[in-house]
Amino acid sequence: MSAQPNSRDMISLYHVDKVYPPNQMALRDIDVTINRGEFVFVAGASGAGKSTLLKLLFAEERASRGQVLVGGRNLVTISRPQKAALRRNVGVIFQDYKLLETRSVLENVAFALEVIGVKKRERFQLAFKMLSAIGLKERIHALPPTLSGGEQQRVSIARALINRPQLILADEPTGNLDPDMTIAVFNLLLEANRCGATVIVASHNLTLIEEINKRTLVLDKGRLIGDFERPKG
Amino acid sequence: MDDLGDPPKINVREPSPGIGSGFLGEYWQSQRSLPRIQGPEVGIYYLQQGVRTITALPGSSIISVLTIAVSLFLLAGFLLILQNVGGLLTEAGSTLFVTAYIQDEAKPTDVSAFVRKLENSEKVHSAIFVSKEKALELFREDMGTRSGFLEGLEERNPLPASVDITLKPDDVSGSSVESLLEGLRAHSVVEELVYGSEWVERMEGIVKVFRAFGLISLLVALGIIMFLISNTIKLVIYARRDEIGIMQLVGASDSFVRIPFIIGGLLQGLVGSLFGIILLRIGFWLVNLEVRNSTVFGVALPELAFLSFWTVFALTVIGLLVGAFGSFFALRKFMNV
Repeated sequence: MSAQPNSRDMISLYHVDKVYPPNQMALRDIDVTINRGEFVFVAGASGAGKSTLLKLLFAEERASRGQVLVGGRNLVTISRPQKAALRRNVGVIFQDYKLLETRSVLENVAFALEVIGVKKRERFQLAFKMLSAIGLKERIHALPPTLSGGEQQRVSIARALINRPQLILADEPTGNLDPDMTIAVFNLLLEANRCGATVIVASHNLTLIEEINKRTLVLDKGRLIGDFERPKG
Repeated sequence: MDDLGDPPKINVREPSPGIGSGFLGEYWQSQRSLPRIQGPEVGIYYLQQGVRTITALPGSSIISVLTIAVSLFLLAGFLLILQNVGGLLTEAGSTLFVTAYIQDEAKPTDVSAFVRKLENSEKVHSAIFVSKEKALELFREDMGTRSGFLEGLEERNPLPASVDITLKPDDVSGSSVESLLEGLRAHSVVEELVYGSEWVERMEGIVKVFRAFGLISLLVALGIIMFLISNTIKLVIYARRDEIGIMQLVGASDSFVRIPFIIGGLLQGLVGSLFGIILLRIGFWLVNLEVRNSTVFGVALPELAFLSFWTVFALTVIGLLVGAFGSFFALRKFMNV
């Protein structure tokens, strides 16, 4: 089946398989469309394929079969320069934070602006505001290894949001956060979503998913077994 | 932000409580484009980042610079030895004396014309006619006290007249010497030519072999040095592979990642090669001082010469290129995220 993306579609997956060598089927025949401006949870147990699905959406991994379209661009055939351009429009919150260890918190957040060539003064001002907004004003000069897991997660979130990305991918963004900080982080993501960003959050926290009450895709052993528009109705 | 199309305009209906409220919505909704670096600022930015690739891991960078310095020191030292030994060999083979023995029956006018022709030749430094009588006299002087057996030879002098020819050093190269000697040999007044032909040939052979050996050794040394330096740089980049991966994951283009490392490689190459050459210059100065003060070598050896400006320039460029290419190739391995 050939891909027929709609202009409203931010993400379209057509019969996507992902096999890791030698023969580990991480995703199997995924068929799903996500519209621009949606807030979507990807739920499932550990090993269900949530992280792999997210990795396909910013071209960290390539689908073994099928087509992955993000913003109308097919990521299966994407070139390296296009891949970089795509990632500059996608804010990714990594489960393992992926912070630059030799750069300060401020520099890490500003780095997302640095790669698009924003002037130094501007990028540091914005990074400072963003870090202030997520309660890390006092830690701007610290190096990531000296931060707690929760603090590193928030730096990762600040970096993902500072570019005003049209697509935000969050892989267990609150896994290391206490309940209060979890709510605060989701408020940020919801705010970004209200501003127009499409947000996809991989989580196995069903309580949280129920509470936030957004469209939820459920994966099990690499298969999409459920697509609930509004779980609570 | 032009790659994914225009996002739908959704107004923030209610501010989020707690952390993050206010700023994000305001920032997101602002249509103000962020000022970008451009023109010369881009070059300055990459230069700063290039320096940063060195200062971020100072220990590794020092090892890289020292590797380049030692490699260039060895390479330049090798070139210096080649140049000076080659020079000595060439000089040793460049002073050629030829004795042209004159036929007994040659007319004096022909001999005089022959000597004049030689004196006027551009290839000849001097041509001195030695008559039969002078030859006997010189022979007698050589014999000293044992010259008694030469008594009575004045009547039937068996020694031939000759012309002692000294060639100009610049003209003592293989083909030039050969053509000149052929010309002399064919002259009507010349009976026989005597010169250090074997010596000349041997010296020429030695110089040729030395140069060929030097060239091959130089290429091998260059290959080893490139391998050594690129591996050292690879280790430095390997230590930063996670950082390179993260840069790519947040959207850094290949050139954005690569250029600072290449500039860092260039700078390390520049510092390393200059350091190596300065070390060699100091070493050369010390060796030359020793040679000049030596009673044995001071007289025998001519002044040793350091590498020319252009050789030093070429070596510096080699250092720069090795640093830059070493970084470029080392990066390729880690840029597949």
